[in-house]
Amino acid sequence: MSRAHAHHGRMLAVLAVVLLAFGGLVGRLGQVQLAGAAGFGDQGAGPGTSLDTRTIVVPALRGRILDRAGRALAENRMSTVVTLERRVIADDRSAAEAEVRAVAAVLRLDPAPLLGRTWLCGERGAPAAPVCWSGSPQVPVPLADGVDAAAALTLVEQPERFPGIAVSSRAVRVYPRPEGASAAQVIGYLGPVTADEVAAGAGLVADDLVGRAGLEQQYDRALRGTPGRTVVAVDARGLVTGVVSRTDPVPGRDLVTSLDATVQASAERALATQMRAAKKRGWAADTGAVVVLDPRSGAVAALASAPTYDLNVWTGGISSADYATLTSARARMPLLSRATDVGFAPASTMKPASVAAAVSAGRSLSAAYDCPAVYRIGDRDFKNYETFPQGHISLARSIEISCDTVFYELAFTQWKREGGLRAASSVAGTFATVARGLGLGAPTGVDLPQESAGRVPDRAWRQATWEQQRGELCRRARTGYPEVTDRTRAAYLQAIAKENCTTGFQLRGGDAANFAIGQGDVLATPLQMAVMYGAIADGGLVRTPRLGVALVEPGSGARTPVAAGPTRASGLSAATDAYLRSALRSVVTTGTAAGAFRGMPADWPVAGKTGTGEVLGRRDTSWFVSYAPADRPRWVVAAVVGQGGHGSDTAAPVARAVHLTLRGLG
Amino acid sequence: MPRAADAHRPALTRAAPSGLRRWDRHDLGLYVAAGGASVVGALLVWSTTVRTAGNAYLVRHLVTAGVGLAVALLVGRAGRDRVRAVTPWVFGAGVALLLLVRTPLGTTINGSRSWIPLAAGFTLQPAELVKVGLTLALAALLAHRLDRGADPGGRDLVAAAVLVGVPTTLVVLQPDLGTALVLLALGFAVVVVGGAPRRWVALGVAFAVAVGVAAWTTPLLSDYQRARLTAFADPTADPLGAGYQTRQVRLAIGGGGLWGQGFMQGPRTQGGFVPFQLNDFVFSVAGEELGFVGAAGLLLVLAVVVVRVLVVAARAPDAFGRLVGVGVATWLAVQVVENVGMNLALLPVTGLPLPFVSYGGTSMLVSWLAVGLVDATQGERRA
Repeated sequence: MSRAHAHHGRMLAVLAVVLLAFGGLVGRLGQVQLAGAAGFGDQGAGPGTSLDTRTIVVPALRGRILDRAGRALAENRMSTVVTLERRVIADDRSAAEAEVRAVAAVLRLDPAPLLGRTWLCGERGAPAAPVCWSGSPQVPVPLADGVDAAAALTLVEQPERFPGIAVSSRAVRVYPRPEGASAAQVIGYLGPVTADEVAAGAGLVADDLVGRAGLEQQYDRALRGTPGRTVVAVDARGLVTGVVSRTDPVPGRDLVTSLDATVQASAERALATQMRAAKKRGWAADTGAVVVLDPRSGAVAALASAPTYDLNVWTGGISSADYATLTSARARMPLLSRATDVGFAPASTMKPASVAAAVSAGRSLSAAYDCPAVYRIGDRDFKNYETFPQGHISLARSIEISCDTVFYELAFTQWKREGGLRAASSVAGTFATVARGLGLGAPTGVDLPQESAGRVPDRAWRQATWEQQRGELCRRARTGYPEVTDRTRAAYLQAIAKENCTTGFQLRGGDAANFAIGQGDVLATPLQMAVMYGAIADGGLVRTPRLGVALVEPGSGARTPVAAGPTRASGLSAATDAYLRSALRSVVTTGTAAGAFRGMPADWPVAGKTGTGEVLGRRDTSWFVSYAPADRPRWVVAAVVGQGGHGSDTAAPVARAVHLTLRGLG
Repeated sequence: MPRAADAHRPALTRAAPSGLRRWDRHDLGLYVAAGGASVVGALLVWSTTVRTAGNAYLVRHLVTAGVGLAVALLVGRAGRDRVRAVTPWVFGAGVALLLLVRTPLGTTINGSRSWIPLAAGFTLQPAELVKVGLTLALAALLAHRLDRGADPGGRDLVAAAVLVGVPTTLVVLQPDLGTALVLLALGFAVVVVGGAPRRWVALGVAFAVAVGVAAWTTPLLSDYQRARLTAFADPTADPLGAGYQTRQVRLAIGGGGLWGQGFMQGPRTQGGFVPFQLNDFVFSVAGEELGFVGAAGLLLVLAVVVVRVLVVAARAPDAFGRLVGVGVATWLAVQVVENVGMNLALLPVTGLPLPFVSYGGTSMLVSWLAVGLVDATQGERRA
């Protein structure tokens, strides 16, 4: 008998089992979908309401910083970035790593850093920062930055071989140095945001860059624009599953400044040239600054500072080696703007203020004043720069030849009239008041994040300083200076400490005399001196210097002017002003700066004042503050070189070179 | 059985190899049911991938289904004897490819070394092919004895155990527990229907229970398998890995209700929340978007395929055809039950595709090949 149809019962059993199993599945399906079995509901919420979302902040393109002619001082270069979808890594890490190695081979890069990027920082097994990816887990991982665009495009042309690979571009801040102008300290630089700033909101995210100095910091908000926001739905692994909403970023506005790349470059070049020349003559000439501004508006055309550096070291993040170099003592702090952040003793460039003070104290502009070689105040001899007496001269002549003894007398006389040593600390003093009126002792209000206020050492300042330092001074008065080996010097220091412990609050006659010639404790930034000479040049009006001119929308070209700062009267009378202007002109024609300006074209008459600051323990500060044309001033040029020698030797030639450039502008 | 029927049947079957069968001799119901499942599958795969890949997956799914249909028709027309003739080759090739997976030619995806990459991004999963090989080999082995009018003896059963054991071991090593389960189940069903003595059947059941217990209590399972097994019991144990998948699948199916969220309207499906939704969890698309009505309908279509295979098998003119049918029916049924069971949180998550419905070339082709085999062995019906 054939067994072909044997075991029919077993066959029916198989059928029964199959039908039972399918029936069971349908039953379970009904239980799950119709009766709401445990684990299949969403805790009462409707379907889809538990979608997880994350917000990705899309940075806006940063605005450029332009000079007044539209030349870019800071702009963006597009850098090609190769990215990899996180999903590819999450789905199969070994396949993703093989893919990344292939990508590295195509791009001719070392695969190790690219592989490191495939890990999120903090993930188990991730390499240490900065190799791992510290950015958002919802954005594609940037594997390589600054790659060759052609090579990168071959990757996206083979999506089967390189799944999840995309090529995008990222803006990198660059500083093109038009005409060779660096303006490093004015423009400033970008740095990564801190965790605190991210926490404070304002749309900043972890890997954003914000302005950390100069104009980049001052106008950061306008330059940065409004970042876009993309809200994405994510699954529990943090992988993006869809886009919920998208707001495009609004690019930052361009900042048009009053800086002129030609003038800026000329100032930087002149500063460097003259500092080199001064070094050859034996001076240290280690720092310097040039300020060029329009006295009629306060618009700043150049702010040069030496030593300087190449801003492009910040591009793409500064290396630790570069940063160490920038901040080393040898480099002499190139990040610091000597034009605005550092006060120097203004020396003789202070004298126009002192003349104005004397006049406002009642001294005559037409009288003659004695200019001896030495002026004695108390038990101290105050020497003139020249060793021989000049006889009786006018105030104008005293400015022209920079006779100190005339100013000692003017200041000392006024000091005695104000009460001398017995004067209360609330007595302001005419010389200090007039200097303040011309802008010294207070920030100029320039649109930069940092600025030194300088110092006007009046009685109130002495009182405050003494109160602050009395404890230490009186301790030194008792204990002396045992650590100083030179006995004579230690005794001298102790004597000074004793005197200052008891009477350090006093403004002494010698202090008043020193102040009149811009020496002693008085400090002014080159920008403050430029503002002061601007006031002399522009009918006595003290203007707020401005770098920003307008903010321009990159798309529409809509222009929003930057508000001008306040303007105020300096208190300088018209007669004194006219007198000073003529005196300052003769400094250049027949006075201390005549040599430096010999051969200057007649159509560009310069007026100015040299200064040679004596700094305790250091060598002379070389100053020249000027404006031109003398009869109808259009530009103020202030130049200073620290430890640069006489004002007429180092600073005046710097100013001369800049004036020649300004004349060329027409 | 009346002798008369037997007397004229061999004559007809012997005539078959010389010429191909007439078109109307194919089992139309089987093709219609399998085709219907393939089309539903294409729509579900389309729904999960249209957002990210457009129509690419829909087209590929339909193309593989079309190729599968063609293969099934070719095999079906080739007839029982030709199929029986190539059986040793198919089984041998399947085992050889399983061994090849162990060599550097194989690749590892999601922790299992189960694939052999072919050209142009296509991959071959030998475990799928070995289901065909085993079904044919077992049927041939046991039919050989049944055709001579005897139940299989001890020696046949040991040979059957070796036939089942070798590929199953190789598949477990991959590791691919789901396919191993299918091989064991189809082997068991074929041997039982093939006339194994009761005490052997009882022994087999006892052995299966012992293996199950051992798997749980000894480190026989890899961590990956353990993770997937425990995730089924407690989705919160590993909320970012295997448990996440299960949780999302359950939310998707639970959100379906009676009529579903609507085709291409399911928030979990369209949001891409369910990993591997187009292959392992394609049933959840039906659950979420087509609801109970649609998902139960899909189950009904698949049940029709399985039952139709069994009906064809019961009508088969010889033991080989009947056993092939039982093997194919068991294999498809186990895959459907395991796949849908894991979607419905009844069974552990294994990587078994839903026949005809899940996206995946090998699975689709092999499922259709199974239909072709059943069709081929049904022989001529009495006029």
